[in-house]
Amino acid sequence: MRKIHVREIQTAIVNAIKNIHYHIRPDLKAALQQAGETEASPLGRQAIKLLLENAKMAAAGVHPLCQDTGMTILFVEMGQEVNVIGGDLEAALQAGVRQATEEGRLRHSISVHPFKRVNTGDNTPAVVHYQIVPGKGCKIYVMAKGGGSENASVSAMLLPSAGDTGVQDFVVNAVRENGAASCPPLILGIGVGGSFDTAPWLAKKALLRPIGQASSDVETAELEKIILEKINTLGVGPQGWGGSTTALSVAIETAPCHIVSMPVAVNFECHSHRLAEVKL
Amino acid sequence: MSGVWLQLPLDKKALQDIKIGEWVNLTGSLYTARDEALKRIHALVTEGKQPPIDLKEQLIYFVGPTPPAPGEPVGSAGPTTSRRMEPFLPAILDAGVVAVMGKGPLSKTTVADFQRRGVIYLSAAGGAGAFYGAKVHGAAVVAYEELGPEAIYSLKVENFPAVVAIDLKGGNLFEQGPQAYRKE
Ligand code: SF4
Repeated sequence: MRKIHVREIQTAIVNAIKNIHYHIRPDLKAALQQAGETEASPLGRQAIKLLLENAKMAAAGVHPLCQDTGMTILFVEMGQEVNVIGGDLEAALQAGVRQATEEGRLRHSISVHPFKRVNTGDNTPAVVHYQIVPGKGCKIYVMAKGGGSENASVSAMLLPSAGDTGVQDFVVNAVRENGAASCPPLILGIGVGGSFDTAPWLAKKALLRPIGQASSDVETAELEKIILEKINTLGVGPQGWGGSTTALSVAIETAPCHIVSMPVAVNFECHSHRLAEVKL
Repeated sequence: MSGVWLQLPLDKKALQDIKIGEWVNLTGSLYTARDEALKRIHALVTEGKQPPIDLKEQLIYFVGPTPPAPGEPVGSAGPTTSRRMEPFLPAILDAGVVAVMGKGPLSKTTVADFQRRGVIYLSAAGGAGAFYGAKVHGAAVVAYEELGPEAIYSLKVENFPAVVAIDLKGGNLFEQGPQAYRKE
């Protein structure tokens, strides 16, 4: 068994969180730069230029990329040959979020209870998804998810007969309705299949893929392309001010599902897209 | 951004000629407010009471900044979603506010109300919190200190750019902008 101390995990989480709020991802930066050249609207191009300027300012380490420093989402992929020692894994992860919030000067954006709007005061708890995988590795995706784009996300149980065109319509309609308020240009994660709860989980997992990386399944990759093209004909544009760049990328994850069901979910992600992959 | 210079607090005359899609550069003092603070003002105004600050001719910016770095007035300070504030807007407009700034579209009812009252809506670039934070040169809590980042602050801004999204001529950028680029 490989041993990993919880302290090591906590330190890695702290560094990753502090980093994603001040440094834009290279794949995102490249996608924005490209959009800055291809965007049809002058105002849209100016908006993208401003976002790239924003990234430059954030890199100085004084002001985070966005004031909504979000809810922390962790996807933990733990090798089954790993023995976590030195304490409670979940507690270490949450302690990492707490420490990064303090040291990174992040905003406190979590309420204790959905009805009692009292702030937890330290951005905990993070949402943690665990997966046991073969091997000795430990990989943790760290995401800071803003509320504006999360609020635009939707899921539904479509009829199996709706097929892939049903999914296209569902996603395109969601962007038409809610795209402008979730800080476009967007990144869209789509989940199709599984049970009721699987689709939104897959949609969020789809956001972990590097921007522009197509699905390894040829048909799914084709569907990603079609949906992206359709979304960019809506005219919403950067910031919703009108233009040809409403989304930068679309990623779809699928899972087997019941013969009578077709769960679908789309998770909206904004251009802030604060995400890192930690390997231990 | 090149565009129209606007001194804060606003002179209503200066708002007459600005058009949707134009950049304005704000310099001067504005007030911040969002969900909870607006809810409280709404409650006061509905009861016929005075809000804790004089809102006449003021611009309200929907924002909840991150904690400041040492020596800085604010941290990251970009706009939050304006639509969430809609239930409280009539109250702050009754109290004299002449412009609001946030991100994203507003409903048809609100657009019509703004146009009837002669109120403009500025759309700041959502997600540009670092950029905007650096345009803030002073911050002081003026009401509801207990709300932390959601308290009402007076912010001193300089050369703070935003796009006109609802003007006084019946324009609504969130409708007309996308219409011009729709290719469905
Ligand atoms: S949607 Fe994203 S970019 Fe926009 S304010 Fe929220 S976190 Fe920031």
